[in-house]
Amino acid sequence: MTNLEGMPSYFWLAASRLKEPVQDDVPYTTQALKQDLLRLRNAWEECQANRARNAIYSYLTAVFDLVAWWTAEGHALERAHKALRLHRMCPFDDEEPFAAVIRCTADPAKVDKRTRSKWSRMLRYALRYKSHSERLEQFIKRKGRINKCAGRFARRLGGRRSR
Amino acid sequence: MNAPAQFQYIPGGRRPSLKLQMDEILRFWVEVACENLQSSGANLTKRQLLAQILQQYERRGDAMRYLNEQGKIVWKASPRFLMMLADAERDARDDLADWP
Repeated sequence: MTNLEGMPSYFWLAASRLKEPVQDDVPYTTQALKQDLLRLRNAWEECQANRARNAIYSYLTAVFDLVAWWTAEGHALERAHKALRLHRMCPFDDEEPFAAVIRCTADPAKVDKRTRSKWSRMLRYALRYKSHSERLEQFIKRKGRINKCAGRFARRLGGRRSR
Repeated sequence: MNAPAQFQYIPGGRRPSLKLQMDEILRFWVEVACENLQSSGANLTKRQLLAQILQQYERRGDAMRYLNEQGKIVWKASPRFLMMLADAERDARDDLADWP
């Protein structure tokens, strides 16, 4: 029999966990949400430490990927607002998931309300029009970069909501 | 609370699939953990074991979900896990080099 005790931490799994109820689908726990937010904050720190012009795309891609699968499960808004509450922040009225996730993972001194709104519009535009197989950075650049994508969202989708 | 249209449920985005899909690296480690648990007498189906292992990995920040090219939710090793594996590999190589 294999000795689990001697294995590295990433290998070992507590046997007591097996007594927990088993579900067919893997539940998304609060701890998992915290880990996802930590990963995004690390991505933010890394992109800030990198002086390359395109470094921001690695952070934006991490945000996009997380909210995209939350959306596919139909829990984006609820989880984004939970993320804010975990950081002792109150969701604003009508604060949508991308803006909420950016607010609790990026440095507010560097990402003001206007920038957050612009990034959020750009990401919503990508969520609506990007194919799953295209990389976010490639899509945004193909569509004229961040400002143009945010503008496209406002024209195509933002206007529809106000009508 | 009403979600904007683009954040509402995407039909077909999440259907219980028979197989938990994951990338090659994560699958390797999850399968090994699964085999060890099976050999230690865990009385669960393989799918149930995989689900529990993935849940643990995700809670620790070692695994993450994302949408693949077909728009399905799949699993992959997190950057943190990949870094840990790379460190372990480097340590093993250094140990081997020090071997007389």
